[in-house]
Amino acid sequence: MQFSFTEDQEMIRQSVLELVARACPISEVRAFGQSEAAYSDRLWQDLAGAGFLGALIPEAHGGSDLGMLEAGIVLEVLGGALASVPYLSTAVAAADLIGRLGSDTQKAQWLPKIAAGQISVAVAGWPEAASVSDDGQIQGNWAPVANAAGADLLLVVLNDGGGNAQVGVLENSNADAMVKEFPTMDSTRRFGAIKLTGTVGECLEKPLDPAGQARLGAILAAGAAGEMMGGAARAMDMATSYAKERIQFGRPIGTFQAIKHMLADQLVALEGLRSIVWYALWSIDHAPEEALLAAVTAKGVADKVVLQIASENIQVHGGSGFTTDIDAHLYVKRAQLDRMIWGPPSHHTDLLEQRLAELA
Amino acid sequence: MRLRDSSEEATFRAYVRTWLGENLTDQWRQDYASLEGRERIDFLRKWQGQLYEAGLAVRSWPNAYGGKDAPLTEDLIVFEELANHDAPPDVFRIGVRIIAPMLMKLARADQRETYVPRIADGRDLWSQGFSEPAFGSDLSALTTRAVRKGDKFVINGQKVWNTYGHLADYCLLLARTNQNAPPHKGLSTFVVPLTTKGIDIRPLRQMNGQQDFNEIFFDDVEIGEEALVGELDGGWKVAMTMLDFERRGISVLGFGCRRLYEKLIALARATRTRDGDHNLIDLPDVRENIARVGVQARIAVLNNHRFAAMHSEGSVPGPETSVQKLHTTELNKTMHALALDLIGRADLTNPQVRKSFSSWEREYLTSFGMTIAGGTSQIQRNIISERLLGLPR
Repeated sequence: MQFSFTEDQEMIRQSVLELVARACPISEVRAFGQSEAAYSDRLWQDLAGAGFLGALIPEAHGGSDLGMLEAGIVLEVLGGALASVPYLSTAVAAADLIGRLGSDTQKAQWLPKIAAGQISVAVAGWPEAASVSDDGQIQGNWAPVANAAGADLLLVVLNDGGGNAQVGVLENSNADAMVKEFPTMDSTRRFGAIKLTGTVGECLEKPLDPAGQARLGAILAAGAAGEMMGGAARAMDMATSYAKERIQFGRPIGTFQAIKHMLADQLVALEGLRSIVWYALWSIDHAPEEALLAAVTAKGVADKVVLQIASENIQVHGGSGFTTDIDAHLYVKRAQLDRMIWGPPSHHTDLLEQRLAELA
Repeated sequence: MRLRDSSEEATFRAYVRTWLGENLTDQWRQDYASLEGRERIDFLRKWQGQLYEAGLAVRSWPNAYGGKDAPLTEDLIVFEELANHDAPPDVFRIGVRIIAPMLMKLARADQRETYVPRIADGRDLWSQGFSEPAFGSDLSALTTRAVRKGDKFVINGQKVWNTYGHLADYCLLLARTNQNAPPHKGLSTFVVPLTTKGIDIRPLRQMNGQQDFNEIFFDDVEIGEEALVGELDGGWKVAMTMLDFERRGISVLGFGCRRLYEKLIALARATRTRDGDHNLIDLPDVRENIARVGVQARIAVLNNHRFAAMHSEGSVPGPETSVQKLHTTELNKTMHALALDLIGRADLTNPQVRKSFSSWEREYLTSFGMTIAGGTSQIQRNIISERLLGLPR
């Protein structure tokens, strides 16, 4: 066992932290909330320039061929900064699906564009796939889908009732794919409602077999948990700093055990989340047979812990935490949406219990 | 990152498993269960000696003290396999995991050479004399005094929560040597043989029916000045070093939590509901509750490995051990409470169920001690918030 990051991985973290601090200060996040943009293009281009959009793309297609742990490090930093970029759907899920299932032509067509920051991709169809009838008609509705509004490309998991699924590729100009803006309380990201009708068009060359479906589920759940964890760490830092500065009754409120013990419990929960999330991210590349269970476990823990920490951050800030002058509210809103997408909490609990039933 | 055994680790783990399979036999368990008090301790001394001979007792220690200079990860493998094999309670942990590591770090060469090897192989059983009736969490205010008289110290006072003192050979005592200094700057630590004249040891009966704890009374107890460990008036540093090692030792409970999770599943599978229509595992709320603690048990094991990687440079474990201590002892309590909830839904008129109930009852009661010993959960939260998060005192 060696449960720690390599020096290279620590350097990646440092480099993403610096890049994000420069390109995505909190002023940028607030400005994004007032804008019409699909995502923060400045940050997206910086991530492309530094090679982070190609983390899961082979060098032959313009990527940097790193791995899921490295992608997870990027996601964690992005989550901490409340960044508005479609990294999980585009640079992680779509890059992985196209790289594994695409024909040479499809890979050559899309992967370099993802690595270069030229397109954004939304992924629909997990955990509920679209159904395809015998005559090839697709039926599917999903909302809210992260980064769907304004995405250049949609990848849709299509289930024809057999063990394998297909992954449909739809360009956003396709009339059968209806994507509408889906407004939510989370102003740090754009969501969409997707409604699919019509027939199956282009699909990735190879089918998504059960192992591939498990991998996709694991990538989305572990990736989302990693991104959420970054937000929780920032929210805890905010509450801790405030508890050191805010004076009441002639002393910092951080001297009161009601506050101290709340924050101590947060750290215990966050350390546990770190262990399970990093294990899940590691297992995707190194122990695929465990990855889905590890990832839904991580997402299930994140769903609880991240919302708890974000919510208590508002409580520690008192009245000012309830205003938009302080950014505490942004973490709660984002955490709530994260709980709903990539498999809601009930989905993860169901999978865990199902696994337990198998043991029984 | 490598969350698997390396080939060397896998070989070592296979060796540990084989060895435990051959030595922790049913006969051994029966013999152990039939003994009490001093006979049981003597039986466990032999067991500690066997672990030592097999190279498992103090694997990460330096060769010079009987260890194998092995990485901490091999200690973790031993802990994990001991938990998986339902090994008996580690009564030598206070000497092996707390006092000896402190002696190796802070004691004089002659003290290290005299005491450490005899701790390693179970020849000597050690206990700790820290808490007093009026000073538990507020340890630095303790009042037991050690007054210098020529080349001796004379000790007067009372200690409590002294584990195994009634059976042990030595006590590592924390006493006040300077009345004029601030509370934590006037304390010193001493090695006290428990056969010394003037010592009176009285066992306490615990809520789980056992007698592990004692009160110890010191009435003009004289010890030589060579019994001092570390600097005169430097006892607080010694005590804090021991508490850090203690928390690391207690967090091995993470492996115990995973074993407990397996036992909860086995219990829920084997137990019928009172109406006889279902096994408990078939009930959705039972599955949900077991899954919830199972996730936390998984986290506890992962935390063990991750925190071990942080200490692998041989440093003293830091305040992060409080995270594990708090997490695993509270989880251990929650899991035992769940076990009783499960059994409560079974037919307790059935003699088999009743037998299972008795043993879970005892374990449940024991779980209460763990959120108190080694610093209460509330003290752990103070340590975490002050030393890890930097909140003001």
